[in-house]
Amino acid sequence: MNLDFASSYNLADGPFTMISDFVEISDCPTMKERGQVFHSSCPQGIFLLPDNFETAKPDEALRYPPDTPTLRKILLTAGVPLGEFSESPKPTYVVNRSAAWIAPVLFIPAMILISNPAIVSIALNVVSNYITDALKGLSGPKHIKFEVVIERKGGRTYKRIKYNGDPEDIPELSDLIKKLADE
Amino acid sequence: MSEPWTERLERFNGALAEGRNLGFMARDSNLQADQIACLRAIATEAEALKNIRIGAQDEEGANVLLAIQCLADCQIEEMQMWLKLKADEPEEAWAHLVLAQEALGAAYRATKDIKNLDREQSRLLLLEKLLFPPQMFFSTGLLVQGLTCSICGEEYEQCDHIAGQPYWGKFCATIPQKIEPDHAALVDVPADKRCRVAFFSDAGQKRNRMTWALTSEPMADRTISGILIAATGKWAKMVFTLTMFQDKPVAMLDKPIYGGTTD
Repeated sequence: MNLDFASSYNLADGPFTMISDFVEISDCPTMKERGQVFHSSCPQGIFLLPDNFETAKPDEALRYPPDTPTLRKILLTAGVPLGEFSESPKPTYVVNRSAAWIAPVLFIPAMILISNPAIVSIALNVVSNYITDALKGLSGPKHIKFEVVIERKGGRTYKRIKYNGDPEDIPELSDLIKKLADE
Repeated sequence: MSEPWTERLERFNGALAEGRNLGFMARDSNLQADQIACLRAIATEAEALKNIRIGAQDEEGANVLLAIQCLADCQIEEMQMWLKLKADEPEEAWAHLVLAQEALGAAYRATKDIKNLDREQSRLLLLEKLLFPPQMFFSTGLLVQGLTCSICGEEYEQCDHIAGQPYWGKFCATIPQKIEPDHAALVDVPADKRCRVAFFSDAGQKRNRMTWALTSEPMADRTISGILIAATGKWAKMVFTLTMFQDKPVAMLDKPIYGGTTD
């Protein structure tokens, strides 16, 4: 399947847009306050965000999907620079014993999109290959949920992409991410 | 002289082919029980051979033997399913089918050299749909802190191994250091199909959702009970044992083979 998410996206659609059965775009205002945290450690890195990144208080444990450390390893192996969201010594993982594959939310800072946009495509390919392999041999639907938050180049505004579909099509989000970042 | 490598593999393939021949309800139970013993011997032999391949610095060979162990395990579980069905123990049969599916899924991960697994996967899924009634499943949310790597024993976040991948004939799995049950939900597609609704209330009595038999036990209206947590099978990417939950607020340990029950 060859999907063209970027061409079907229209700015006039407003802050919340369902552009296909697989992709939903919305503003992500909470990132404005949370963004301060990310920029301190590795401005040129992509971040794997905890599930509770929008709501966690400073003393609250950050909760990650269980595949986060594995994804971190394979992204680093592929040469994708990663930022650290927190200095927390031991993250908590939320293991949901359902077959739905839940990926950590990817946060892509504007700096990455300006200085090294190719990294975004590499990261999406790595995520896609990893999930596709992970689902091989499992019975049941092969659809997954995956989210990306993008910092737009013009300033501290953020967009969220929610993807719900075949993991093999995740790399097709690359053009949409670049388009959203340029707005 | 010891048996050559390729001939051993062919012998394993022959035994697995015989297993496929016996994978039917109508086949003789004694032959199926014999096949289980044969497959267990193959799994043990494959384990011994792995050490030889490792000694020869042949990681791929060791991983092929791991895949053979997974396939042997898959057939053992399937044979047990048939035997349990014929013994009128459908709940046990269901658990064996689920473990057969899990073992087959592990064979995919062990090596890329094994063919025709898709057909086998479809067959097991078809058996699930044809032999058993539709199920309702539980998904339990667990909070896990600290993961240890089963290969090197180091903290998983710090080592180079990848959970689910084979290394010298063994799968890497993560072992949680601390677990807290967080929530439970009813889902259509669970991670573990053994976690299912076992009973529901029917006019004040307890009805078995698998057999549809009405027990004499009373059950409060609009309640269900079932298996919330199951110890993971031996091919899991993250390992849970029942002892990890012993002091947790989850009623369990009712059925030692695959977990417990809760209302």
